[in-house]
Amino acid sequence: MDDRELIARVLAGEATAERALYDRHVDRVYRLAYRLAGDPDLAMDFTQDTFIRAFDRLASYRGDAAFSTWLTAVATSVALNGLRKLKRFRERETDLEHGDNVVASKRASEPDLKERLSREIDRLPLGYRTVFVMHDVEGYTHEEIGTALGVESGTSKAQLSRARAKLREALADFAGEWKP
Amino acid sequence: MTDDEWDERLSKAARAYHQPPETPKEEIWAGIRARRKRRSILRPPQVIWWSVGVAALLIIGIGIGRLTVKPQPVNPAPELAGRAPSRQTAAMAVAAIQHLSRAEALLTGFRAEGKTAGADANFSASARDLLSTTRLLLDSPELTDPQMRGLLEDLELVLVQITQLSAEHGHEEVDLITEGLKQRGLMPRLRSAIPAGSAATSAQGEI
Repeated sequence: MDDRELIARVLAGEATAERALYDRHVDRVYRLAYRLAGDPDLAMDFTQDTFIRAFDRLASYRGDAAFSTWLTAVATSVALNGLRKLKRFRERETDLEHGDNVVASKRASEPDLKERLSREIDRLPLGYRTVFVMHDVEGYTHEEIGTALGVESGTSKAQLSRARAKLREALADFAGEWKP
Repeated sequence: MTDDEWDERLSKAARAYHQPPETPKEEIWAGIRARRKRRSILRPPQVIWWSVGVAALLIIGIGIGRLTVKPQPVNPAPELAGRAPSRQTAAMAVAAIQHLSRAEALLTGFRAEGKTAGADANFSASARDLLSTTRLLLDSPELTDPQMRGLLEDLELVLVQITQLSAEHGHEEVDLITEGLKQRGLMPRLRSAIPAGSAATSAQGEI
């Protein structure tokens, strides 16, 4: 049974179809949510929100794009909104604590490449990070990213290029380790 | 190293970034179900907002009626006696028709849900709301039609039963209610009291 049939059944009120649709797409949604959030609880929350919102709005899915693309658009919107809220909250918290702890942890020890890379990806502006994670980490195409984020695929390419340039610059001191 | 080589290595190394564990499918699904259920209980169904609207309309209608009624002369002229109540009756008709439509929708859903309706808190919440509007209509001095009064009284009884549905004895109670609906012929009476589309509008036009 394809997604369209399943969706028709969900809209007709069939609870088992809802579960089947969920089973089919949950891994992809959770993976993306986890990659963007980096936290199991947040990833779970974002995945739940994504499906709740998708089921609520299923009637508005017109079928122009694949269902997985539409669902990815819902998932990225949920995750990005959630992360922006979290960022604002953390900024307020950091202001209250004068940022002392953050600075201390950054100076703790010289990290290895993976750790540094991870930290530099975290430091990318959210837009760049999202495109980088979706393309380079999860393997989405620029067309899929464009549809999910509501931008042209050219914009996605440009953002990826800027994200990579920032990472190259930030990790320049590791360039020697990567030489073949 | 060229930029392309750099990017390729970067991309490979980045695959370890926030490496997701296995999807906790069941846990996520349980969360989705719980949140949807909680939300459906917390969010008043649309029928409640309609009923609130109907109740507000009724109150406004009665208010306008009261303000426009002139003190009755000892021997009222037939045409004056007829004019003032016609506005109130129109307001009452609109409110009653809209209310009966909501009630019909609720009872149709209730019957369709069958035995599981007893466990659904939405039905009792909606019934409670419709009940207060039913009582408002019944208490209105403008309700002069004995047939409408009888219909509203029967509706009141059924709504009271639905509001009192308990989770433990839901099945038997649902049977009793649906049996009662049949015996009183409430559904056909409701349907025949609701004119097809245009009547409500024309009554509104009259106001």
